[in-house]
Parts: sequence; structure tokens; C-alpha cells
Amino acid sequence: MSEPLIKIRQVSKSFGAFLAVDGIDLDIEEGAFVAIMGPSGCGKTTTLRMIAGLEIPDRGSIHYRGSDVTFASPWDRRMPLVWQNLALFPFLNVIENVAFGLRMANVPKVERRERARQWLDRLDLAEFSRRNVTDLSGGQQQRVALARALVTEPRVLLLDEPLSALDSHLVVRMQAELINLQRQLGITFVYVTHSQSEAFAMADRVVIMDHGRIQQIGAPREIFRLPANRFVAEFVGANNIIPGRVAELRGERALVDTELGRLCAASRSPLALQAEVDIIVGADLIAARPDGAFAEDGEQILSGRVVGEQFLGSSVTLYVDVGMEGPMKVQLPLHKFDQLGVGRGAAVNLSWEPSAALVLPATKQKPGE
Amino acid sequence: MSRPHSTGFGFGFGAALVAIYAFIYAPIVISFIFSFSAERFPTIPLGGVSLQWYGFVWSDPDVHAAFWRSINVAALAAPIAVFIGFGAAYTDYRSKFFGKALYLTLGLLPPLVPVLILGVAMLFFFAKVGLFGGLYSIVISHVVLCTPFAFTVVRLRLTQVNPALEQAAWNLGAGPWRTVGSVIVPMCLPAIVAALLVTAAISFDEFAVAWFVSGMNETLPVRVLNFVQGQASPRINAIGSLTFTISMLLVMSALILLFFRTPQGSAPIDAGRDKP
Repeated sequence: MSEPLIKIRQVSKSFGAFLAVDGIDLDIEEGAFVAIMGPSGCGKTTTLRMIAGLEIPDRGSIHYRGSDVTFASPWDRRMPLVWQNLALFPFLNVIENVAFGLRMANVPKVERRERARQWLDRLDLAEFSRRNVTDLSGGQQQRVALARALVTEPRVLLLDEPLSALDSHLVVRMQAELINLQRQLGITFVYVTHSQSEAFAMADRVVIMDHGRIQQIGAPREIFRLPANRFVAEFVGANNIIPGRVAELRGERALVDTELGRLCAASRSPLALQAEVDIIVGADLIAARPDGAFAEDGEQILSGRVVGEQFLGSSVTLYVDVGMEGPMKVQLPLHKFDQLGVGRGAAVNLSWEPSAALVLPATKQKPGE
Repeated sequence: MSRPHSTGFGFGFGAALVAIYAFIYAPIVISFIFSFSAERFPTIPLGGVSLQWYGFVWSDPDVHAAFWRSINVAALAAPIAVFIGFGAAYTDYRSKFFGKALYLTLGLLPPLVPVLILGVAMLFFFAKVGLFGGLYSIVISHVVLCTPFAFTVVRLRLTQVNPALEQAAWNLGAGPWRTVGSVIVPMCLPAIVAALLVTAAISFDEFAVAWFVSGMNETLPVRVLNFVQGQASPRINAIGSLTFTISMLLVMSALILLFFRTPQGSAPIDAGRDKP
């Protein structure tokens, strides 16, 4: 197997008493679009800054293309970063900003103008080349920042929440542009974000972090459907979490005693009898029927009462009180919701296939410990 | 919204302001007016208007020499003070280190030392090391006096510089020295020019220390004092008006640079967001 482009081993970093990154291992393959996602303070930006050399790890090592760059200076790394606040140079015009990296690499003036111009053309900025960067719109500034980072033709591009300052309609467009750019260039993107939709829409690998630790690494779909632990289940998607205790094990299935009765769920990891577990059920995997309707054979059935609904556009989230702490979330496509025709206070039956429920060992402590 | 006391308060405040400015500027204005007097002992209203005192000043070789000496001293002291002040301010911006508060205090202290004491101390020091009486002894003293002002002006600007800009330059391959040259200096350019003007004005005006250390090399303010000691000639008014005008021009240009020029890059980091 080929060596990963970036190899992070047992890296930790503290700021004073705050442990920002806690012994993480991460391989980033050449040509991948990797998103590092987590709530604020989870260590994702610190990880990115350590890759860029803007922070020095307290422990551990970072290898880039096979050589140890843990303590290498940022100006020696050739890993340009697209900043959350863009950090364009206000005293330079657009083309001078883009050519900055080439100037620092002592590329002759004519050549750097030419290369900067090509990037401005590519990102539809040609007409602004003489403008002051502060006169551009947010989306245009964003593209200048991209051009400035890409003009030196790096093997890897680091992005720190680059779209967070943009309006939502621009975000979707820039996401598409970034995906295209990454495919065309074939270089590695490491993209830090707190937004699940951004990570899932763009990345082919998603790294979920919390409390300085990696909680799960996987393809977006895998993380969405098969969360590795309760933190991931709560952080991504709309999952229902039902705590319980293992009563019986049947191969891949576990029967779990919960406050809602005995429920059946698929287990991916070996479990012990009587172990405390959480059952995770995706809100979109639950079917809702009017009270009294029959369910399919073998389905789990709960009856409850609608206590709230949230209109999301093409889908609706129903909140249903089934007698446990907190309502169950049920996500229905709008047309299904209209067919169901229930309102607040109506009695409904909820059901799901046993294979739709996932059983995970309970994590009582901080996630990841 | 009604503000019943605002008018009365506003009037009182305005009056106080006028009184204060009158108190400060009246002597200068009168000196200005008298410098155009045709008489030996001017009165208000002026008995006659004349440029004779300017003529006297113009034709006095001592004044010429003192004027050029002052210009030379200012032209040397200002860039040196700004260079040191910029270095000190950048150190403060860039690094955290043990004793930084002490470093800042010591850096800002010289203007708080009474100039007489500073002058005497300089005099003894230069005499001891054998530098007394040269033009460079004035330059050195003025660098000491001016550096804290340059430091303050540049530091004020640096507090508005987004630290990500420097890191962005490193990230794009600029080493630390190159980053200072290609990012920090351009970001601080208005402040650097303003600091040059302010320190030049301070040096050009400075009297007490120069009087102690100048020896035979009188600067313009020292020459003025020697005029006063000799006889109360209205030439004082002419030379005073000239000196005042030069200093004011320098300081006002500095203020315009510092406060009326929109400082680039100090705008909010998301400036320009979603402009059509």
C-alpha cells in the first residue's frame, strides 16, 4: 500500500490548561477530499494549523510525503491555507494578491503575472485583476483567496471554514465550484468545517472530532448510517437514542430491554449480556401510521402522541411522545406527512425494521473516553 | 426625544472650549501678528505692516546656520527613531516574553523624564564618553526623546492589523524577515510616515536637551533663546512664527495620515461581504 500523503501520529496540543488535540492518528491519502468536522473547540482547526505548521504539536509527529515535518516552518511546507477570514492583503490589488506566493518563491515577474492571470481567468476574476480586494463582494474575495492559494500549484490545499462568512445561496455555489476544482486538479483538499451539510456534500472522507479526539473516520454515508458512538449519532443527522440493557444476543441481533419494552436492533460490535447500550434509530427510518393501522411483520411498534412538528421544506420532523424522556423524532417526506394527516395531539403508531436500529455500547463519560 | 438641558450644557461646553483654545493660542496668534509689525515696540492695532523682521532673520547668518542644523538633526534623528520605534512595536506585536510589561514601560519612559534632567544627564554622559558638542550628540539625544513617540504611533497601527495576515504570508512561503518587509511594513506605512513627521517636528522644536548638549552647534530653538537673552527684538516674533508654522505643518500632516486616511486592512475582516 502506498504511503499516505499526510500521516499524523499520536499528535497532542494544549493551550494552557486546555487540551485542544488529544493524541490523534490520521492518514490523509493523496487526492482525497477530507473534511474534518466537529463542534467548536473540538480541535479541528488546531489540527489543520498543525498540518500547516502554524502550531507546533506538544507530542506526536506529522509526516508529509514521507518526511517528518512536525517542526518544519510554515514557509517551508508549501501547504497553502484558505482562511476563514480570507486574510487577503489589503494593500495589494487582486492580481498582486494572487501572485504573492509566486513572488515569495522568487518566480520572475513576467511569469508570475502570467500564472496569476491564468488563475484569475479560471476563477472568473479576470476583469477585477486591478481592483482593490476590499472592493470585491464576499464571493469574489473568496475566489481570490482560492486563486492565491492554488497559484503555486500545491499538492495539498488546506481550507479552514472558508464558506462560513458567505450567504447561504453562495455557499451552495461555492461548494460545487470546490468539488469541481478538486476533481480537475486532483490534489488533496483538507477541509475544516462545523457544518455537516458542507462536509457531507463535498468530502469523500469525513473525520468527526470531539474533545480533541477523533470519534469516527469514514465515508459520509457510513457516518450518517453507522455512527460509531453516541456522540457521532447525536452530532450528525437526526437520530433517536434509546438507552437500555442487553437481554439476549442472536448473532447479529441483540434484544435490548428499554423503558419502551424489549427492542430488537442490529449490533456491529461484540456485546456482553447485561451490558448497557444505546439503540440508535435514524429519524428518517421510522414509519408513522395512524393509530390502529397494522404494521409490517416483524417491525418494532410503538404508539405515541404527536407533541410537535417542524416544517423543513421537502420534509417534516414530527415529535412524538412515546413515554420516554424526550420525544422521538420522526422525519417524513412532505407528501407522506400530508397523507398521514395528523396534527398535534393525534395518536400515531411508530414502527421501524429491526435492521434500521443500531445498538452501540453506552458511553456514559465524555464521548471518546 | 426631549433633552431639556442639552442646549444650556452645549452652550457652556462650547464657551469653555473657546476659552481654552483662546488661552492656548492667543500668545501664538499675537506673536504672529506682531511679526508683521513695522514698529520696534508693536501695539494693537498695528501701527504699520512690514516684513522687516523677516528680512532681518533672513539675512542673519547665525539663524541660517541654526536653521540648517535643526533640519539636519531632525532629518537624521527622525528616521533612526522610527526605525528603532518600529522594531520595538513589532517586537511587542509579535512576541510574548517574560518582562514584557517592564520592556514597554522602559520604552515609553523617556518623555516622562523632565527634559532638564535628561539634558543634564546627556551632557555628563557625552562629556564622559567624549562625544560632547558635536551635532551627532544632539542627534543621539533626539533619537532617545523621539523613539517612544514613534513606538506609540506604530504600535497603535499594529493593534489594528489582523494577525492572520502575517501567518497567511508565512503560509504562502514568506520567511519571517520577508513577511515584515512585504506585509507588516506596507500595512504600517501610513503610521510610519506619520511617525517620521511627528518625530521630525519634536526634534525640530526641541530646546532644552539641545541647549545642554549642543555646545557651539546651536539649533534653531537654542538660537531663539539666545536672541531673547540678548535683547527683546521683534525678530523673535518672526522666527517664532516660522518655527511654529513648520512644526504645525509636520504634526498636522501626521494627524491627517493617521486619522483621516481610511486605514486599509483595519476594516472588519468580513468587509466587502455581499456587495452587489
